[in-house]
Amino acid sequence: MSVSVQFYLTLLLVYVGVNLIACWGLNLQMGVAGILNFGFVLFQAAGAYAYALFTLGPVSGGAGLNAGYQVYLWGTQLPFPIPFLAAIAAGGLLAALVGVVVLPRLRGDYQAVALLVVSLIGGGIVLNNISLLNGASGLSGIPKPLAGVTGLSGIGYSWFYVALTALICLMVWYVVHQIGVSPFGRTLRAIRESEAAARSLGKDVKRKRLTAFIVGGALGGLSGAVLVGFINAWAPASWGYQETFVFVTVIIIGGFGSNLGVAVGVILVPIIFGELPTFLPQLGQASWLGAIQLILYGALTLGFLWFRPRGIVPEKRISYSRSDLVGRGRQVEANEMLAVVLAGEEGVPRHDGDVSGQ
Amino acid sequence: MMEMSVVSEGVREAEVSAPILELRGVSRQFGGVHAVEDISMSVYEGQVVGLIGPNGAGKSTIVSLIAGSLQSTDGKIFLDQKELSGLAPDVIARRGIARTFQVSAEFSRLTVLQNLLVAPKEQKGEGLFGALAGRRYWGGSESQNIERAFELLTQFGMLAKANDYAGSMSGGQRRLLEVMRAIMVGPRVLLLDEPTAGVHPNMIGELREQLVRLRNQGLTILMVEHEMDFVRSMCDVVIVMARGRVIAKGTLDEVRSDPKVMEAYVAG
Repeated sequence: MSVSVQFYLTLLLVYVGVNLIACWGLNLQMGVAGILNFGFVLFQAAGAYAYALFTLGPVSGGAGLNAGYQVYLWGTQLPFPIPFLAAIAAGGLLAALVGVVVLPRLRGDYQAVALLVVSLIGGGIVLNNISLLNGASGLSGIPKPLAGVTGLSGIGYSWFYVALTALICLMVWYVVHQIGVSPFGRTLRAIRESEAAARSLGKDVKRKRLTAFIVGGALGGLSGAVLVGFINAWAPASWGYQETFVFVTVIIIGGFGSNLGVAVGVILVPIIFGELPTFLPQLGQASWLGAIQLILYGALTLGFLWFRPRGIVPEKRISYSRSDLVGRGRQVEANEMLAVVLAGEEGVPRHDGDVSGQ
Repeated sequence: MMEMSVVSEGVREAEVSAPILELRGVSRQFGGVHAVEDISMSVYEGQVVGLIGPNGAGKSTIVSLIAGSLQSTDGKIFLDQKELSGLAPDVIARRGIARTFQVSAEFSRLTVLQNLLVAPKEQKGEGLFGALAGRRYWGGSESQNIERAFELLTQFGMLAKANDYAGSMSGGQRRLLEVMRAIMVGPRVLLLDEPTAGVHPNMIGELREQLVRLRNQGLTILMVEHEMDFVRSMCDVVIVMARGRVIAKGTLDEVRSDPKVMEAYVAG
């Protein structure tokens, strides 16, 4: 395999990882907790900028890359994994601030619009206040994590980064899976279905929703850090509202509330449907490519909402029998998840007297 | 103010003590309309109190005011002598009041069993860190809750539906599910808003049997109900409301012969 193909492949795999982390975060907010968030990319941006500020060094007298040609409010240079943790904190903190203001007061469409507007305001501030994060030019020359420690460069480092991304994805999967199967996840789903009923059972709806929103925001921040750690640059053009639209499409196609479905959606939407048009012969202006991608995403979204609103891999149904409680239930769930993927069905395969799921 | 000290033959001993639930001069307006006006009543531990009256009388508003999903514009509500007025519904629920809704509010895309499992208070694994700690942390208490839910499903004759989506249930089954879910909370006071509406007659018998069993265990029940046979067999005391006010109290037979009640039902 030629080096250029390997570079393309590693780029694609890192993008898969970044999108997985981001979409699992958004799925926790939107699919599990029912918080429509059309401004999710703001949290990814916060994480990306936080990672940059924690690796670029001071504005002057740092590594030299940043001096003179780009300006930003503040910067330092700290070792791995601190910049990633800073990105998680930035995404989570921003989600907490936004969530405290927006979540208690607005619901449904209004909430989604408010969050979209917040992300547009964030973009406007960063774009027009150059001294903050270098405006439209964005930040570049952002250091790669562990590059010095591993001593790798070129394609070798790229494959190392793919492995690092995969490891981070596994950790994120653990988090979202544990939340999903726990009583916390069940309560979030109950809140999604009926806030009034959940409240009547003594559930602190505000706190639960805010917690899910913060965790989702933190994962968004982490996804931004993983992305800029690889591409080494970040600018307002990277986080327009279209990016959130891609994430939302992933969740609609994959399956609301389904982490496995989101993984399938990530492979299908940004990778297959996003990359395929780049291999098509050029039609008219070069800008048509981006337009074709967005049109494709829009058509997919409409098609799935109309014909298969629960997505390719719908949210699991966890079922129990009296003889089988927690321990065995988990095993059968996993088997059935696989069965559903293979069958592509929403139906619930049942096991004699045990557990069924989808 | 019309004081409604609810008295019944079966619970006189309980009334020696303070009421478990008390409303003092409670009113609620929507714009210029008085949904309920100057309502006072006392409910004692272990009583089953029926709230009846024609449509629009304000019965469900009373339930919502007690449960905190509506706030009163005047008056105070007490549970065990502690004021509930102004508290959020979840706080009131944690203090021991569970409710069902006039329009069923099941968690449609959760199974019947999962609906019940949402209900227990202070579950392990219901917070973020408990969830991340994994099944080893919360699996034990979950198993207990599952067992309890299965017992309840068996008692209500809905075991076969345990793993069906709640949204696929019939209207009557959803009613029963809501009652079971409220019971799973382990409340001290249970507010039931038309619990038999749409429920199959055979199931109404099951529901009655279970509620009587709970009453015998000391649960206090306040129910809005239109099914008079059910009210007669269940309720120690009946309170009749019309146009946002209490117009009569007593046993069902006593209030039925009250001219004010007859007029309210005829006039609507």
